[in-house]
Amino acid sequence: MRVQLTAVGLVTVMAAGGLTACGSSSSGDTSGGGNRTLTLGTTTVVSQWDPYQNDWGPFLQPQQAAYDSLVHRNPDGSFAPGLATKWRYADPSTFDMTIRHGVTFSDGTKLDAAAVKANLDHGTSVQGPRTDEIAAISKVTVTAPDQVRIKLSRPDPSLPLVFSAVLGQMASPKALKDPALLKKKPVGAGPYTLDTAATTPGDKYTFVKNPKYWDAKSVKFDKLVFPIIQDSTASLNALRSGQIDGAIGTLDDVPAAKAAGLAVSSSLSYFTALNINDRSGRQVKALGDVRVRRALNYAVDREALQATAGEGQPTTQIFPPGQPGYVKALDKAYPYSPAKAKKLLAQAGYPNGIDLTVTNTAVLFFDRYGQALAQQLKKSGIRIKIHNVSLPQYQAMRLSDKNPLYAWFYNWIGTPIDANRLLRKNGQYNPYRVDNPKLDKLIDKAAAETGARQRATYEEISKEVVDQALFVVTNIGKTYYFYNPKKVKEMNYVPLESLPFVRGLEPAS
Amino acid sequence: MLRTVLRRLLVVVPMLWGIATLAFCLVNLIPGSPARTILGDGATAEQVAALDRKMGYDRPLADQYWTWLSHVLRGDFGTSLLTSRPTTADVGARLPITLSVVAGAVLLTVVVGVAVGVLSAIGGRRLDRAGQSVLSFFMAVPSFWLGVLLVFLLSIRLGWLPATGYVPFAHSPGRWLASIALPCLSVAAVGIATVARQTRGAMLDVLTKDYIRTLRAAGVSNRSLIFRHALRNASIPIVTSVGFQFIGLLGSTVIVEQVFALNGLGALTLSAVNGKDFPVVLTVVLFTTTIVLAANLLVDVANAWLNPKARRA
Repeated sequence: MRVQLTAVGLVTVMAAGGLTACGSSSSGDTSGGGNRTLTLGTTTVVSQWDPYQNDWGPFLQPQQAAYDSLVHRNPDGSFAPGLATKWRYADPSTFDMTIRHGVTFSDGTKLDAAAVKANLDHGTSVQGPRTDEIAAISKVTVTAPDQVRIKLSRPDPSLPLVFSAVLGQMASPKALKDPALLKKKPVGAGPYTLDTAATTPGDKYTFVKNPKYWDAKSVKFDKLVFPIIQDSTASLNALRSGQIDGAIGTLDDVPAAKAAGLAVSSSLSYFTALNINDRSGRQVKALGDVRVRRALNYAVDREALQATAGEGQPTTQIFPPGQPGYVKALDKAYPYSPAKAKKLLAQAGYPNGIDLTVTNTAVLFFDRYGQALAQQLKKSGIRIKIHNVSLPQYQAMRLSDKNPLYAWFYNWIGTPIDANRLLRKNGQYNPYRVDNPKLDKLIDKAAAETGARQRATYEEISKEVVDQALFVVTNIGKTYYFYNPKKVKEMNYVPLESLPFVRGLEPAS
Repeated sequence: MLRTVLRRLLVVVPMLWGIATLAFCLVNLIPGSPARTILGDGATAEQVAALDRKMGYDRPLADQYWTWLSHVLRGDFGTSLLTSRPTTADVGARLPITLSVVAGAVLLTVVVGVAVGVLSAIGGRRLDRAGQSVLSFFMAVPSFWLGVLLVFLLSIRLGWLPATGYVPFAHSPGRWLASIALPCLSVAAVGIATVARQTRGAMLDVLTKDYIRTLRAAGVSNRSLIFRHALRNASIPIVTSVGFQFIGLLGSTVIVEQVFALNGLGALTLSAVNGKDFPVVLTVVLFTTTIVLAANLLVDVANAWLNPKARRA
């Protein structure tokens, strides 16, 4: 449910998953070839079905069942044709797509270039959790019945990625005109359709195979059931007792899951950090001084902190391994050194150390993380007062311009989008609107480039961010998924995603 | 008795109003904005403020309160900010789950609690002692812990009952019963122990009364003596206690719903509070208040029926 957007972000990363097939186990459904059911616990389901007003991440599985996207993504993260068979940037500000023939939506409407235009026009006219990703679209034109041309107000290289997630999910243009309908059920051209009779909103969602799906032979399960289970213990119990076949897991539960014969997949999907909102020192003067920010970076022992973030790895940078912008050497940029930290603080005019307040919430991993950080920083003369607030209050404060410093994690989407969100003057994760013309210029430059050049520019951005110590990034965290290998072949993560995709899942036998 | 009922009903209206008003104030103390929840991290502060304005959450509180109250009086409880469904539909979908567990637990409490209590009272010293030890144990055990234990034994190890989830009665009465068995058992344990102790005490007390001795001397059968005479008189404090159990259970299901992944009222309230979904929170408060008041009324009526003295009180 949209309700929990932000909370859900937290929940996805750190907490549980899973739901339960109501009542008796689903294992009985595996035997016959005719009725294969896969039951996947989920912590949350979207509360309405207009893709443009929905988030992705923890919501992606049911959405992927209901809707097909313009672009598909292979397990290695590379792109593959979806509802669009071909696409290319004619120039950095023009994107052309060829739309697949012979596809119909579940209400019988035909998918063509006009339908895609209707979707994108709708998407740019509403405000949703992800619509910043298509903010650069200025005009969509139908150039032939199966050809769409998108003009951009500024170069944006992320469209294939954007169109492979929620904003590339095509809804029936007829349904888009009827918001009341999309509040109740999805009307897409996806591999499954929602069985409303077997669905209780907020409790359990049942999808049945769409026989008219254009790639129906790739759909190997006849039914997908998503029960909502928010508690990680309940989720693991449901898995162990065979009520569900897969669900998001926690690091703490990995040994128990393995002992129960479950398969565990994982993904490096977020970084944890002491985040500096007040990068210019408007509210807390010291934070505006690069020497203080560097001191903070030297004062954290990333190796020791790793235990709080799972089995990822220590890091100093905002981009993840394997993605544009990641520079391996940068991870050694700030080796743990209280001596260096103290020296830098003294140079900045704080020979006796400084006092800082960190906003935190005493739930999930934040409690452990915040405490550990405070302990470490103390050794460098940085006295942290942790200001603990409730989770709802934390959600509300995190991205406000009255919250200079806080513990957090960030779920990656993809380098071009992450750069926009984290660094740009009007980025969502820059609530103090700190202006850094050099970074903005580099981001624009990268957006207009391709290939090796673009990678080099993103690396330059990463170096600048680390050098200016705009964040105190400490660790990369892993997200875990538990599934029953006797029921489903493989449920691996596509890089950076919060959940394994449901597209292409195959029965184990 | 009719007067008792009418008098109680008169109190219900101002009580509902008072609780609703209090709930409205409390809900507005929850930090954060509904728009932030709806729009997610992707939205800027400006966009969040704009949506809050659009939904009317920038208006003075008194203003919002008046709008809300006048709608409620007309039977319009509003729509959920997050699901856009009428809040009554959301609450209506979740209520059966919670009520199934609570009602099942109360039934279990009464049947088992009274049976164990009566047996302890009349079954001889050895049985009584054994019963007392077992009851002390169950009174001390937290229900969520018992729930976890039951799931481990009965679901994971033995596979007898489902570990999580709810099946509506209409889909399959058998599976419905299976789905609520463990939650009922785990929340009822404390109540069973309490009611059993109370029954035992009241029975022992009543059984020493003169009229029982007289009845026994008059040759009334043992069964009739215990069930028709002793238990009926002993049941007044038991009924009151069961009424409290019911109300207490309604509140304590939040945790048990988490353990068993039952998406009942507790789960709904939790997500509504986290998402600042005011209309849903307020509707839940009004519904549960009504249920609690109705339960209280029922206890009063039952007491009046059992005890003629109470009718005049």
